Amino acid sequence: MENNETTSLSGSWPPEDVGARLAAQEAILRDLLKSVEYETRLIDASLEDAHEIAIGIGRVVKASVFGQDGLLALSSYLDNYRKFDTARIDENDLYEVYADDLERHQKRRRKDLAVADSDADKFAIVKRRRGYIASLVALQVQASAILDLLSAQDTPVP
Amino acid sequence: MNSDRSEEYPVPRSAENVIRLRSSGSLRAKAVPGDLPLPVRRLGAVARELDHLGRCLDRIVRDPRWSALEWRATCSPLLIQMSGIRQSLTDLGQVRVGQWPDTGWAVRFRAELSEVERRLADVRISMSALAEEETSSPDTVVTFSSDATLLAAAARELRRFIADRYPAAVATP
Repeated sequence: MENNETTSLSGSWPPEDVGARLAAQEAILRDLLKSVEYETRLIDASLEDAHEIAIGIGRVVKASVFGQDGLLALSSYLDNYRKFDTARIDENDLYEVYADDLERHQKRRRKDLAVADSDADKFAIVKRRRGYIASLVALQVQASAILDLLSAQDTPVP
Repeated sequence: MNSDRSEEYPVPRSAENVIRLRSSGSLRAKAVPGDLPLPVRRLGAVARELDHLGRCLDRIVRDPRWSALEWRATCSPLLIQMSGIRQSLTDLGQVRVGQWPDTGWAVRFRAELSEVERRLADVRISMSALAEEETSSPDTVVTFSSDATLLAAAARELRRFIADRYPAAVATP
């Protein structure tokens, strides 16, 4: 799914739109995390969407914030960029594992309820889910830190 | 719904190198009801279908049958309802986190929708088991009744969830 409303394929936006786009995506991610804080299983049905939002944030930050002609000079904010990129890569890796396990669990459940209902099977999913949510939290924190940098850069981010 | 906060921040004339950004709510403020990925009236129509499905399931569970022939006759209306509801559930899939203006609502909605889809698949499996047996075994009947009861509950929950948020759409046919 590509949401043209919130992302472009390259993540490259006109400079005047970049902060607003990033702020909007960060806010959506924050709302999503708030929604699953006490009921983590809710994220199962929105896993693809969560990942798409994370991809969207990654594209905007890489292309329009730290990219060529981006709003921030990469050389001056290398540490921030690395932290962000680590969070982005973690999210991507954990998504792959979690999505794969979730799909396998759902397939097994359809074939044999006894297997899928086993504590071990459920516990594996719970662990993957928690790990993935933690990676989204880390990404949101880094995105928020970049928005702070943009604000400090004479750039009135709301 | 978010209020419209799309006005730009004032920038002094002297600061010409300052890049003006719209407020963070600007994107979501665009998503007024008319712009929703799925019209509210469609949500209302599906909510009413879910209500009918729940009633149909209740009727079947209240009066169990013991032969494949009787089950086929009893489940005919259910089969028709189920085929319609499948398309409707596909439509509901357009409610996506990141595209719906209320992220929290969309997250919970998708979880409720996923539960209905899961219970629907269970009923489909247990219903075909009933149709295969010449004389229904108590186990098969109990499994079907249990799955049907759970589907009815999930359908009602999703309907209630839609009705709580969009009561007018659910009430108006």
